[in-house]
Amino acid sequence: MGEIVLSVKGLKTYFYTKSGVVPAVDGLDLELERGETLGIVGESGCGKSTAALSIMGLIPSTEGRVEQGEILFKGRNLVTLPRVEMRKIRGREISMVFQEPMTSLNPVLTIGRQVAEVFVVHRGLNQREALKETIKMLSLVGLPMPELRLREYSHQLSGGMRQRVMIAMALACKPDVLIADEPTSALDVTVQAQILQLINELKERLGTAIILITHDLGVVAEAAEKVLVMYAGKAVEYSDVNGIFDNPEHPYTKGLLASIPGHKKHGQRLDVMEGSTPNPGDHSGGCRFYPRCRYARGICRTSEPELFDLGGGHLCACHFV
Amino acid sequence: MQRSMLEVKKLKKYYPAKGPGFLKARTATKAVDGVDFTLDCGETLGLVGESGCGKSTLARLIVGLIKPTEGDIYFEGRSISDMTRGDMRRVRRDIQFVFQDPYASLNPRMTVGNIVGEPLKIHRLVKDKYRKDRIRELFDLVGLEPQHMSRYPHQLSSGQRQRIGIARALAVSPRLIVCDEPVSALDVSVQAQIINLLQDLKQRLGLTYLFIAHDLGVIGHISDRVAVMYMGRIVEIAHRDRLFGSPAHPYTKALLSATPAAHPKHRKERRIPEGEVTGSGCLNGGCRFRNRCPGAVPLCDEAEPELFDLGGGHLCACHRVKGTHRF
Repeated sequence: MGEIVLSVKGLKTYFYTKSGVVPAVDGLDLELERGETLGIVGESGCGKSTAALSIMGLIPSTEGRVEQGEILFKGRNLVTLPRVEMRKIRGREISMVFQEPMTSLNPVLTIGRQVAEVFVVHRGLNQREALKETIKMLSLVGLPMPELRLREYSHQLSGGMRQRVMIAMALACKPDVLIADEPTSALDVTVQAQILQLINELKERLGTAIILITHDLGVVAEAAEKVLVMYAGKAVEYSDVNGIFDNPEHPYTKGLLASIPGHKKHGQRLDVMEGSTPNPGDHSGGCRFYPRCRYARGICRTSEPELFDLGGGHLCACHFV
Repeated sequence: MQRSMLEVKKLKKYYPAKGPGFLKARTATKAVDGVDFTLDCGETLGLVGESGCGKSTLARLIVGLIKPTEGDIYFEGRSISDMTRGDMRRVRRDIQFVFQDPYASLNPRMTVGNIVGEPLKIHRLVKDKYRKDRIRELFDLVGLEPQHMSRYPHQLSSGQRQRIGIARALAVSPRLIVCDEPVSALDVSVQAQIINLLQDLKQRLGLTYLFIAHDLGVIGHISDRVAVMYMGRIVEIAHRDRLFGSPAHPYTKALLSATPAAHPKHRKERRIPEGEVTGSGCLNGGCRFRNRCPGAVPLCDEAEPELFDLGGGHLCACHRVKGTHRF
């Protein structure tokens, strides 16, 4: 077993809205080993992005906060860390790539300035050294003609190139953990394949552990080693990637896998889960999946199942598994 | 022999570049640039391509939301562009459209019952007193409860909204439905419900679909034949088994290779084309895929390849495939 770089225990992140408290993440545990890729899968509203923002300390304090739990990184609890300390970690030791590179890049700064800023802020380099490093980083992520790109703005780049720039910024300080939140969802499939390949190559080279957040099981099959399936703010299943695809145990995971259409299933009816994903906070005790679950019994309504080890590190939260 | 329902010939749609300048004509965006295909009665033709390839423009041309720059669309043998207004009205009933984003395509101030009933009113299909019954029937058809009728779009989930979009299209009893990315905005579990619904409706009502998507999994699941579009042109069209089993065009091969594996054990060494789709203005003459194509030859710079029959209705537009094909 490898060394654990990040561990999250009992994380609860709540948002406070006009219509009440929204428990977006409601008791999440996870562990991330050095150099591994953990895929977090779930449908919209399951709390996967909120979990990522909580780890980064980026939950806007006007809207919500980490209510409970700890996020342990190199022996320190990020939840209670002073903001000044957190700023030193964020971007240097833990960094993040967002879904939509156009909205996360600054449109009025050149690419060169934005990437160089990372080196200036975190490594204390002067402008000239920082630009040199920037060129190195941009060529590492496969951006053609990096010297020219330095003076360009984000709107002059294509979607794939923007995402490469984001990755360059995120990996500039060789972080221990990279959180990629739907990094390829806005991209075309050929570009998605390029970016996934790039993330995998860089992981090998830099030994970065990756949390890959996605709704696409194909992306997980392609790039992850461990998988965490989330539903309504909680983890329902955790296993290595083959376990999830070969022996899915939780009814929700099974349902997700059966819902994927494909050429080989042509003409057949897809085996679907009825209903749709619940809004966070809609449930009141019991298993969160039970209204949609075909195996649900009385106990599912009254008591909430906890994650349970089925052996070999395959965890599942279901009364009947 | 099946009758063809829709025939598209040399269809083009150019959008002139905005602003002054004498190079206007040259820099026009060629969204659809010479598309030919036929759609038979009762089949589902899948149209796949990456963003900006012109698939949505093609859909809008077919339902008559925009007028083509050149070329013609024949519906049951009659050219749509020559039709009188009365005939056109009739054809509009036969060809309906389902949009990608049901939220953006439903009027937020109307109840969903009225949204579904509106086409009935416009086309004067049922007497006012029977309209409610017909709406109820349509709701039942797409798997919604009658009590949903008085709700507003924002009170429904995304899957239910897409069902409303489908019910509205079905209201006028169409024969051809053009679905433009109908499931792309939905979660996987809801997407599966809508795919099943579309397949059931096709069987029950004998519909013909032109189904547009960027997801090869969805396309392969629902289509009988598949057309692959690249930068305003169809580069390959074949029965789905042929297309997935033995793709001929290098772009189709690239697309298939880039699709993520269905299982971690099937991770593969990929042959992903370099680069991305370029603007349509910058490749004048020659094959549109040549700058990303691993096997481009000088001929690809000179002449634009035309669709060519490899046998059995498998068409491909590539010089090299044509060159190596044995007759």
